[in-house]
Amino acid sequence: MTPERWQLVQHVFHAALELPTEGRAAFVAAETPGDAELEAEVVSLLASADSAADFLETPAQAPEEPPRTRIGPYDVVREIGHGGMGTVFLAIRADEQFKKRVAIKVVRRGMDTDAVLRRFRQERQILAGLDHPNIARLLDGGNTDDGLPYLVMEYVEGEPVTTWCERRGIGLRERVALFRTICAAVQFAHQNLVVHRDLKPGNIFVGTDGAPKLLDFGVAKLLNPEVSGHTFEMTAASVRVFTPEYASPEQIRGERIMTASDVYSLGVLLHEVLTGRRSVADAGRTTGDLPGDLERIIAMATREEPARRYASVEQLSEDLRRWLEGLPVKARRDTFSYRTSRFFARHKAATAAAALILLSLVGGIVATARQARIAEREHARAERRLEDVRKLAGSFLFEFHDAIASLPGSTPARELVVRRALEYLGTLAKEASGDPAAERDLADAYERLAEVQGGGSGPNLGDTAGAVSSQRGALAIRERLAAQPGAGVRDRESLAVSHGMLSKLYLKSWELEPALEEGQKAVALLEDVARADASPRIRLRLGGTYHNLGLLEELLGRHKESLAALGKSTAAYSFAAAARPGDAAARRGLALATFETASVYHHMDNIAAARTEGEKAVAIYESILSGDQGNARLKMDLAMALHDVGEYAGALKDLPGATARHRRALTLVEELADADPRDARARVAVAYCANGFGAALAAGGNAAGALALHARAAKLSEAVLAADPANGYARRNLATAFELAGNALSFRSGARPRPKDVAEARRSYERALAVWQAMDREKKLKGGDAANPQRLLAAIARCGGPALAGNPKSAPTQ
Amino acid sequence: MATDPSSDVTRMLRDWSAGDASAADRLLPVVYGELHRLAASYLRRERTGHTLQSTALVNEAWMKLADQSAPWQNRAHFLGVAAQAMRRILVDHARKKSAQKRGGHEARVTLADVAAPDGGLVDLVQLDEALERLAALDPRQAKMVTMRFFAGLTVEETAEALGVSEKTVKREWAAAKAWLHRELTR
Repeated sequence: MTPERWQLVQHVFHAALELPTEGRAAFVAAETPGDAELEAEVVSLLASADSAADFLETPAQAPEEPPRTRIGPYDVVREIGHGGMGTVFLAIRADEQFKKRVAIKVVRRGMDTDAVLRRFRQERQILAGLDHPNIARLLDGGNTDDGLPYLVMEYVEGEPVTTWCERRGIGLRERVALFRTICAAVQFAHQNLVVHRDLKPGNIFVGTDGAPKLLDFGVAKLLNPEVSGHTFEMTAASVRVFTPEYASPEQIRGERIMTASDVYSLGVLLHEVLTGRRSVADAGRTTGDLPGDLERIIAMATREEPARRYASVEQLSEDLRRWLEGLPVKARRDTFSYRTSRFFARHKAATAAAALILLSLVGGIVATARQARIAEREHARAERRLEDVRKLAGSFLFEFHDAIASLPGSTPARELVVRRALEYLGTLAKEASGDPAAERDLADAYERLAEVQGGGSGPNLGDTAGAVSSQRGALAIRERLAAQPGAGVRDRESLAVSHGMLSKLYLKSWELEPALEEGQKAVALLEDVARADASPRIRLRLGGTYHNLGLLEELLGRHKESLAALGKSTAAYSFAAAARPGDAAARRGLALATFETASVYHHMDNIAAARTEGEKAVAIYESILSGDQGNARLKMDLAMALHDVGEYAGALKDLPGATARHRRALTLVEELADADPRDARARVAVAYCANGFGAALAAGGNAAGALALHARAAKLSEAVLAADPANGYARRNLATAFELAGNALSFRSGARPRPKDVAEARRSYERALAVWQAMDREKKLKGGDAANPQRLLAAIARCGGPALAGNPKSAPTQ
Repeated sequence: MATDPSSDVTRMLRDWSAGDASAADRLLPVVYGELHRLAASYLRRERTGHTLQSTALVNEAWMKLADQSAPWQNRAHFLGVAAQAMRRILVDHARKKSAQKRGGHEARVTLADVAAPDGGLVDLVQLDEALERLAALDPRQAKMVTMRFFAGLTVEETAEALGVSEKTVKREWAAAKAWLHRELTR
């Protein structure tokens, strides 16, 4: 039959079906003239339809199993439960005098696929390797008569640990002590490189002797790849069996399962054992049902991020021991970052020393792991440990870095931390080459180093060239990761961020075209990411990336393009801020982009609009800073906004408003520079704000005050440039200081300046011109700055004296 | 989180087929629930207390799903493949069992394995083969039978999954059933 023929058959069939049975034959014959085959087909189908009324109407069911009476040499007493993939029977060995009772686990009929059989063999292998008084022992194994494999295990006569505790009504201390015995058994499994992965009351029985026993390693995972083999890894990735109530977040997400996942499940279990209730409070939230220290212990064990839980079951157990002995526990509800920032807030002077101690600790762990690797014959096992250490080193150092990043005075410590992390991770990445996770960590480390060297907007060491090189290192890795088959949206996001960081570094050394190119790459990549991920977090990133683009367009003199990009930026930030009202980052981004919009209006000579936008930005900053007084970065942002609003106020002839804002701006950045004398950016900012304040004073007739401020700005800028000659901001500040000093001198005596002042003004203008011309020769004079040399030549001409040629070096400076 | 789960599934399936490997992992909890529902309807009349069995069954189905290489289009497609996975689980099992019987020198018992309500039995291996032949005539009807019989979907669910009206499902179901019944009793 053909499909077309089948259509025809059905057509007649359905029509005939509408008729009473007795009329159908005649109808079919009439409908199929000259086609006896078709007629026969429809008639037989109609007959079949009559007898097939119930056929297939009840969905297929899994076949029932005949009750088992005997398994190998064991007599089955009764079925005692179903496991994930099999049935468990209570049985007695038939040919023994001592009728020893055993538990026998048989793979369920119908579940005997290759994958399940493989898992069953693994469980046997795992149990054979685990000889511990609190782990149910493997006694025997074999195949049933009908070919299903079975495991014979120690029968634990008892009940689940939670039921056992409730029934006896034992006290809190006894429960904690019992739980520590369970911890010891789990720890023993971990030491044998076995993660249980399904710890729950039903798998932890307490026997009549009161001793707990761990059951059911059916879904356990071997951490030792030599034992488990490649196929097991594949199976573990595609089969996920767990009990959601007890499973860790990473387990539910299907990520890599480590010992930390068991720590999580134990935390949930501990709560249930102690309170009789399963639901564990959100980490950090307490219910008041338990002593605070126990709640903190549970909270720490059940933290969302595996790296922030107890590093091992042993540590969890140890904290419980401390509680039992009335000692302070190590668990804290607050986060590591919070704690370290608290610590460093209190002990600023000790920052560097503490960093060294922490580093030597981590270094020691790494060294030990490597020695272990050499010493132990089990190469693969050591590699696993190295992997753990890599994670520890990575998260520890990065958290440490981030925790102290916003504190004044931490710059050298941060460089040390990151540089050392980079060394470790570089070594480890070489050993684990081709491991994307290791490569990602390495790229992270490069980026943080770039940030400390001279990137980002936080404090830095002023080594812009070094930062570019570090950032390029990160970018190369990110590109490789994003180009890999199976690269995820996160890799594309990281690549975009990396382009954005490089763009900012180029901007820093005033290389605007490469900066724009990198910025555009970042925007294109992120827009693509945003199509797949509309979360506030991506909006936040997008806001920053658009902002960067807007800034670059503006610096290249393209106001319209700049306003368009900044409009997208404020829109993205507003979206993120609305989605997360408590998120300071979104509000800070909104303030930054608003502030940038103000400066574009300024460049477009729309000063009223510029001041409106600027005051908006200042208000947002002040509100964020009022809740976060010690935040160095925020102070810097606010100072920059105040500086510009001061400029706008001056241009609108609001002299008191201008002076007040400039004064506050300078005070803020002076605080920053005092707190961290090595922070190059703070010193650049002091020069910048001193120039602004000086100009405001000069406008109000205080030329002496102005000159002192400009002299200070010039001196600071020269000092910064001595250490970092590529710093474009410092060069601009230097030129501006000279020019403004020239202005102050020229106008200090009104319409008829003194000749000495005029000569001094001219020298000052010439110095400013020299800076701009040097930048021009290096092709770093872009946008609005392009007219600066011309303006200065005119100013010099106004001062009289010999006309000036293009080359400032030949110009008289004395 | 409050979004329509079916659109989530569709999006995740699309991401997955577009090469985003992490989508498969995000998909699991949702798919798990979906398959669980399928398995539950499939195990409707199982004795109570057998919930873990359906968990194991779902895991089996998931493995088969994860192995399949064709890209997903949408939830309906997914349901179809899930039903297909259920069919493979049952038929593989029936095939193994009948092979065992042959190995044990017993004559192959036709109409074994699955009880049919009229007191007779349906030979799943034969049904599977007949369904392959039906698929050559009308692939949609074969899918329909797979969904209704192996995955236990209702007429409404099947109509939704196949994107056709309930009336169409009822008509085609009648024809397919008659055809299959004749094939199996020939």
